Amino acid sequence: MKRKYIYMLAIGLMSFASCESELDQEPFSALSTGQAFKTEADFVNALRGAYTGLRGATYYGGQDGGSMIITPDIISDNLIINSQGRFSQQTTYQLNYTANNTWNIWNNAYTTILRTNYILENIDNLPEGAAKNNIKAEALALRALSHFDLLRTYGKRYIGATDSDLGVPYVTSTDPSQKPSRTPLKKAYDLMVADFLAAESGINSANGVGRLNKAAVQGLLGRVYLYMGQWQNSVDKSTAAIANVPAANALATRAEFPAIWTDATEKDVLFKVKILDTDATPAVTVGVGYQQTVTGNVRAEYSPTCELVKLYQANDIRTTTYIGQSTYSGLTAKYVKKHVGRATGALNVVDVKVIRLSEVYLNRAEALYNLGAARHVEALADLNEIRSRRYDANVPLVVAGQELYDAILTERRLELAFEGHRFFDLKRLNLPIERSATEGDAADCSGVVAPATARSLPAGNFRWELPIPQAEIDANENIVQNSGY
Amino acid sequence: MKKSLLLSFIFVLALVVQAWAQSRTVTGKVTDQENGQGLPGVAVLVKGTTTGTATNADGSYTINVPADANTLVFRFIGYLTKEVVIGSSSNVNVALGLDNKQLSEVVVVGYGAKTKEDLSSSVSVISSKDIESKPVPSVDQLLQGKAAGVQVTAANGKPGANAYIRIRGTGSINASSQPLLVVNNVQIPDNMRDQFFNSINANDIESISVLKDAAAASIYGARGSNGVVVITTKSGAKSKGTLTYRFQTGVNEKLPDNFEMMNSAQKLQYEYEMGYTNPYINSYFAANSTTFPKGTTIVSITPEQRQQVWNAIGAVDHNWQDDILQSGKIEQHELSFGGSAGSTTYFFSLQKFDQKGIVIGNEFGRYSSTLNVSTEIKPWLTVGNSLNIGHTSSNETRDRNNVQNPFRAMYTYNPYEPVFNADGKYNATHQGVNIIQYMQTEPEMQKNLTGLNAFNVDFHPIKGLNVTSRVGLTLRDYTREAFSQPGGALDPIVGDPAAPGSKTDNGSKEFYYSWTNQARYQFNLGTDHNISVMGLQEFQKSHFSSYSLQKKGFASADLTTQDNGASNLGNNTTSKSIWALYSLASSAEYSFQKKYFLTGSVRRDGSSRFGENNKYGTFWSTSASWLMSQEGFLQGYDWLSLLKLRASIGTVGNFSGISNYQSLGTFAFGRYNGALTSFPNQIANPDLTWESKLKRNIGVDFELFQSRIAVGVDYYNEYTDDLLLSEPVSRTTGFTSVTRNIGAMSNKGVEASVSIDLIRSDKLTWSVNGNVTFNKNRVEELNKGQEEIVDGNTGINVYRPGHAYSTFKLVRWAGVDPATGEAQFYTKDGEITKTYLASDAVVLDGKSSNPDYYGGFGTSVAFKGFDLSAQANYTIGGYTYNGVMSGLVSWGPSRAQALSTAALDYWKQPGDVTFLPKASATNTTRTTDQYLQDASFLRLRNVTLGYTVPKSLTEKVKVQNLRVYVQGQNLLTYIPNYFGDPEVGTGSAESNLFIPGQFSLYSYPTTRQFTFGLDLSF
Repeated sequence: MKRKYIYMLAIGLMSFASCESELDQEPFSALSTGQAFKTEADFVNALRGAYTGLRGATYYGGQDGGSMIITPDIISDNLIINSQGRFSQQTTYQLNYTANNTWNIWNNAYTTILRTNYILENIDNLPEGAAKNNIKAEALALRALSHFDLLRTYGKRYIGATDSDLGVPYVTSTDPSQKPSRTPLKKAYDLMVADFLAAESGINSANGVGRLNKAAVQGLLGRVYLYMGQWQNSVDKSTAAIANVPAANALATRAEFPAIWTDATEKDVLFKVKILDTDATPAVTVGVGYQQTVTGNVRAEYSPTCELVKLYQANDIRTTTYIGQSTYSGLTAKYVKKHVGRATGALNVVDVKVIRLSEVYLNRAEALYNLGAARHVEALADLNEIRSRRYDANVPLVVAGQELYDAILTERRLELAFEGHRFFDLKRLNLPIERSATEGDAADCSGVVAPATARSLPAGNFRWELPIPQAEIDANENIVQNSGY
Repeated sequence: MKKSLLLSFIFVLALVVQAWAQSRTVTGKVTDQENGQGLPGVAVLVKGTTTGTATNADGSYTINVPADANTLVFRFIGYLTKEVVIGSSSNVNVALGLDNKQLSEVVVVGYGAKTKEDLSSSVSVISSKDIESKPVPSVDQLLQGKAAGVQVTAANGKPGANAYIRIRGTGSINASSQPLLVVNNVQIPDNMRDQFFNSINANDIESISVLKDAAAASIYGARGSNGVVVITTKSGAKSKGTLTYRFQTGVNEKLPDNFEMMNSAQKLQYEYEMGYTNPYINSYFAANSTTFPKGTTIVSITPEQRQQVWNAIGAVDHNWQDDILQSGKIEQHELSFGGSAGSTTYFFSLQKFDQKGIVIGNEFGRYSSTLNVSTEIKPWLTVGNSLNIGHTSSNETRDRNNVQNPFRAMYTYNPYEPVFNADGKYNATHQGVNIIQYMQTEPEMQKNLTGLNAFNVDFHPIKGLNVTSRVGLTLRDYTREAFSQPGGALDPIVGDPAAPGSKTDNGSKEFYYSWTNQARYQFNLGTDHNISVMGLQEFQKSHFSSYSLQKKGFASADLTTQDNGASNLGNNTTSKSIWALYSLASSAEYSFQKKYFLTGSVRRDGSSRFGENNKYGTFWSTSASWLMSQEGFLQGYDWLSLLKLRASIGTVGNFSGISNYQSLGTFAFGRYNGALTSFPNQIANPDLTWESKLKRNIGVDFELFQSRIAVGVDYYNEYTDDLLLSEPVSRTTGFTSVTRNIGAMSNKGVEASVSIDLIRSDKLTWSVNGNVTFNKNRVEELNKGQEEIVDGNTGINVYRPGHAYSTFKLVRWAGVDPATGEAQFYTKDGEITKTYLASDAVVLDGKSSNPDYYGGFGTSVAFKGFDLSAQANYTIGGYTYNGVMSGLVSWGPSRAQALSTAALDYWKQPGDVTFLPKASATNTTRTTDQYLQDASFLRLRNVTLGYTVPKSLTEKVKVQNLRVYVQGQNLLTYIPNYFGDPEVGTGSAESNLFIPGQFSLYSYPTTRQFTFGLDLSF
C-alpha cells in the first residue's frame, strides 16, 4: 500500500521537474541575439540599425554635444562663437578640450562598428548570392567609414606618420569583454582600406536613399586615399565613382543646388544619413548645433567668420544657400542656413550629407594637382566643372601652378563649409588654424572676437589629435592617451 | 505544464485519502475557566512533539497519542498553556484560564510555526492588539516602533502612504532594501507589496512575525535578503461565533510647523531691503499714476508714501495654509463574523475606510474583505482557503518641487497675495499659477485592485508526518488617470492651444501564482531526542503587463475617455514580462532534552532572471540555542523564568536588483528612414546573479519574576556581497557599462527589547515596553579602483568604502564674516575661503540619513473597564539635507516668494553675527552643510483611551462586548535640531528622492488625527 503512495509522490515530483524549463524566459520587446539573424529581412533590419548608429547623438546626428557636420568647422577658421547663443561646445571652440570634456565620437562610432560586426559575424546564416554579398559589403563599408572617422579625429595625419604612431583599435569582434589596444595608425588605415575595397566589389550600384552604394564607397575611397597622399589611387577611385554614379545623384545644376539642402532633390548626394521626424522620439534636430529659431528670429550658436563670408561672391549660389542673417537679442549676425530643415516638418530636422559628388570632383582635382604638372589641365577641368554649377555668368578660371592649387583649396573650403571638413582638411594639409583678432561675431564684422587664447592652433600641435575620452581610458587600461592631455 | 500541475495536484490529494496510522485515542473537552463554555480551536499537542489537533466548536477534541506519550499540552492564544498528564485515562477534560500577558506562544515562522521556547532564530512578533483600530490604513506604517531591528519610516503623510521598512539596516545600493512580504504563507511579489500593505485590513490580522536572522529568513532563499514580514490573517477558530461591528470617525490635520513665516508687514519690509518692487506694488503705482509716475520703485518714494503703499497691499494679509488646506476626515465601518460549525471554522470581514486628505481634492478610499474557511474533512485531512480582496482609490496631489505642488505653494505664496483677483477669478500669484484652481482642474486618480487566494490541503497520513500542498494566486490591477482639463490652470501654460486639455490613462496588471508542496516528519528517538525534518518544492511565476495612452484636444472637462481626444500626445505603449522561480528546500531541527536545539536549512533557487552561468543559487543556514533555564543547576532560582542563548549564521539572496531579461544579450527595434531597424541593446551577461548576504546573529532571551520582565538582546553582523553595480566597459564594445555583482556593504548592530508588567492584578494591570536598535552601516567595496559613487538624484550623497550608505558630501559652511557680511566656506584642506567651489566638497563622515539608533516604547494600563495605552517612537542621529529650509531661509535670491522669519537673520552692518550672509537678490543660496540638519526626533505616535461597558450591563441587551474609545495620532513631537518636520521619508517623489531621510522637499506633510471609535460584538 505504502509503495503506491511513494509512486504517486514520485509522479507529483516529476511533474514539478518540468517547471525548470520555465526558467528560460525570452523578452517580449526585444529578440535574444540568437533570434536576430535568421532571414534576409533580419539582416536588412540590422543593417538599417547600423546606419542609425551614424545618427548617434555626438556623431552624424549630433547637435550641442558635437557633431560630424558642426564640430570640425568649430575647431577651425570657418565659425565664430555667437555671443547671444547658448555657448554649446564652447570648450571645443576655445581649443581647451580635455579627456574629460571633449567632443566624443568614440562611443557612437564604436556602437556603429559593433552593429556591423554582428552582421558580419552572422553573415553566413544567409545563402550565397547577390543579397548576401551586398549586405556584407554595406556592413564592411560602414565599419570602414566609422574607423576612418575615428582615425582622422584621434590619430595623427597619415602623411608623415611613422610605423609606431597609434591609430585607434580596429575592432572586428563583438566580444563584450574586449579591451583592445590602439592599432598602429598605418596598420589601421590599411585595414580600413581593405574593408572599403572588399565592400566596393560586393556592393550594389543602387541601394536606395540613406544607404551606401558602389559610387559612394568609391567616392569615400577617393577621399581616404587623398588623406593618405596616395594620389593616383584617389584619382582612380574618384573617377570610378563619377562613372558609377546613378543618374538621380548626378551633379546638380546651379538652379537645383539649393534643393539639396531641403532634401527636395537627391542630386549630388552619394550618401546621406536619413533623418526623419518620425524615426526617433524626440526627433533628431541636427541643425540645433548651428542655430535655433526663437519667435521668428534666428539665434545663432556659431556664425560664419567674416573671413569666410568675404570669400563668397555675390553671384555664388552658395552665398544665399549657406548663409543667412538675423537679429537676436540686439545682435545682427550671420548664421548657417545649411541645416535649418525641410520645407515642411520639424525645424532643424534634415538629412546629413556624408559624401557628395561635388566633393569627389574636388578630391580628384586636388589629387591630380599633386600628381604633377602633366595632370594640372585635368585638375583645372574638375575645378571649373564645379564652379560652372555655382556661379551665375561663370567665367572658367584659367590658372596654373600654385594659383591653381590655392584655387582648388579655396573652392573646397567654400563648397564643403559647414559639412564637417575644415578641421580635417587643415590637419591633413598640415595647415594652422588662424582666427581673426579684430573681426567679431556681428554681421558687420564688429562684435565679440575670438578670445586671445584661442586665436591660433599651429600645425602639428597636439590638439590636432583629440583626446580619447577619459571613460575609455578608465575602463580599458590598454588604451594609451594621445600626448599632451 | 499546466496539465501536469493539475495532475500532480490530484495525485497529492489522492495520496491522503486512505492513509493514517493506528494509535491510541484520547478524547475530552476544553472549557473556559471563567464561564465553563467550550473553547473551539484550542491546540492540543502531545508534549515533545508537534503531533496535535484542535478542539471543535463545542470545545471537544479527539487525539491519537503514541503509546509512550504521557502528557498533553493545551494551548490557546490569550489563555495560559496547560499541561496534563494522561495516565491511563482516555478522557481528559481541561479548563483554561486567561493569560493576562495576552502573548501568543506560537510564533509563525517561514513555512511553519514554532513555540517560543523552541525558537532558536531571531523573530519579532507583533500581535493584532498592537495594530488594530488605528486611523492609518497602511499596515506597514503600523509596524513603526513596534519591533527591535525594524526601522519604519512613513513615505509621507498622505492618506494611504506606504512606508520604508529596513530590517537591520539598508542592505543594497541598487537593488531593493524592502523586506519580503508573506501573507497566509504566500510570498507576495515585490511589485505588489505596497498595495497589499494598503489593502489588507489591519483588524483582520492575527499576527505579524518579522524574520530577521538567517535561521529565520534563509528558507526564503533568493527573496529573503532584506528580512521577511509574515502576516497571518484571522481564522474562525479564535472567534467564538461572534458578530463584530467596528466604527471609527475622526479628523485629520496638518501638524503645526515649528517655524514662523513672515507676515505681510515683515515680508514687505524685507522686499524693500532687497530693493524689490513686487507686482502688486507695481499695479498700485500704475493705478495711482498721478502720485507715482512711471518708473517709481519701492525705494524711490518717501517713507510715508511707502507706509501708505504697504498698508494698501498688506491689507489682505492672510495665511495661505488656511486657504489651501482643509480639515481632513476619517470614517470607517467594519463588519466581521467568525466562528465554527461542526469541523469547519470560518472568518469573514468587510471594511470600508475613507479618508479625506488635508488638501482640497485629495482623498483615499478602501474596500477590503477577507474570507477564511478551514474544514477538517477527516481527522487526517484539513482543507482551507483564505481569500483577501482589496480595492483602494485615491485622488492624488503632485509630489514635485514645482508650482504644481500644494505643499510647496502653501509656503511660497506671499501673505499679501489675495486668493482671488478683483474680477473674481483665481489670482495666478507671483508663481504664475493658483494652486487652488490647479487642484480642481488637474485631477489625478489612482486605483488598485488586489486579490490573494491561498488554498491549502494538509494531511498527516502517518504519525508525525504532515504533508501540505498550497496554491497561492495573487493579482494586482492598477489604473491611473491624469487629466489636464481644457481651460484649466495648466492648459494655457503647457497645453497645445489648437488641442486644449490632455489626458493620460496608464496602468498595469500583474498575476502571480505559487505552488508549494511541503512535507514535515517529526519523530523522537527515545525521550531525549526530538527530530523534525522538512522538505519542500516550490514554483513561482509572475505575468506582468502595462499600457499607457495619451491624447490631447478635449471639448469639455467632463469628457475623460481617450476616444474623445483629438490627437495622440506622445507614444501609446504596452509592455509585458514574465519571471519564474523554481525552488527546492529542506530543513532539519534537532533538540536534546528540550534544552539544546540545533537547526539547519538549505534552499536551492533557480531564477529566470539570473544569467545562465548562475541560474541556480544555494542558500543555507544553521542555528543553535541553549535553553539554560531548563538546566538542573538553575532550577533553584525561582525568579528566573526563562534563559536562552541563541546563535545563527547563514546566507540569503536579493534577486530584486535584476530586471527580468537583464542577463540576456538582446536586439531591440527602431526606425530608420521609416523602416524597421534592429540593433544590440543589451550585452549578454551570463554571470549575472543575486546579491548575497551573510547574516550572523547571537542573542539572549530572559524572563524574570514569573515572566513579569522579559528581555531579548541580539547582536547581528550582516555582510552583503555581490552588490549589483554598474561597471564601465571599454566603449569599443559598443556599450558603456554592464551591471555586475561587484560591491559589498555591511550592517552591524545591537537590538534589544524589553517588556515589564509593573502591576498584575485582577483590577489593575500596568505594563511598559520598549525597544532600541543601534545599527552601523558601511559601504565596504565598489568597483576595483572606484573611489565613490555619487547619488545621481541629490548630487550630494556618496557611496564610498569606509563610510555609511549615502553619506553626505558637501562644501562646509564656515559662517558669515562679521566684518564684511560675506559667506565663508572651508576649502577641502580646511582653510577659510570666500570663494564657493563645488570641488571643495568633502565627505562628512558620520553624517548620513542612517540614524545611530532608533526604536519605540509604550505603556498600557487597564483599570476596571478602562484601558489607556500610549506608543512613541524615536530616531536619533540621522542627518537630512533640509531643502525646505534652504528655500524658506534663503540668502536673498528668492525675495519674490514667501519666506520664514529666519530669513531676516542676515548680516546688515559690521559686527553683526548672523546665520545668513548679507542678503541680496544676486546671491546664490549655496549648497553647504549650513542646511544639513540633525533629524533626530521623538514622537508620541498614539494615545488611546477606551472604556469597556461591563458585561453585566451589556448582556442584558444580548451584547457580548461594547467598547468605546478615543485616540490621538501624532500628538506631540520633540525636535531638538530641525527646521520643520524631521520625519522625512520620500523627499520628493517626482524628483526621485526616495531614500528615506536624505533630502526634504515639500512632500505631503505628516498629519495628526483625532478619532472616536466603537467596537460592538454580539
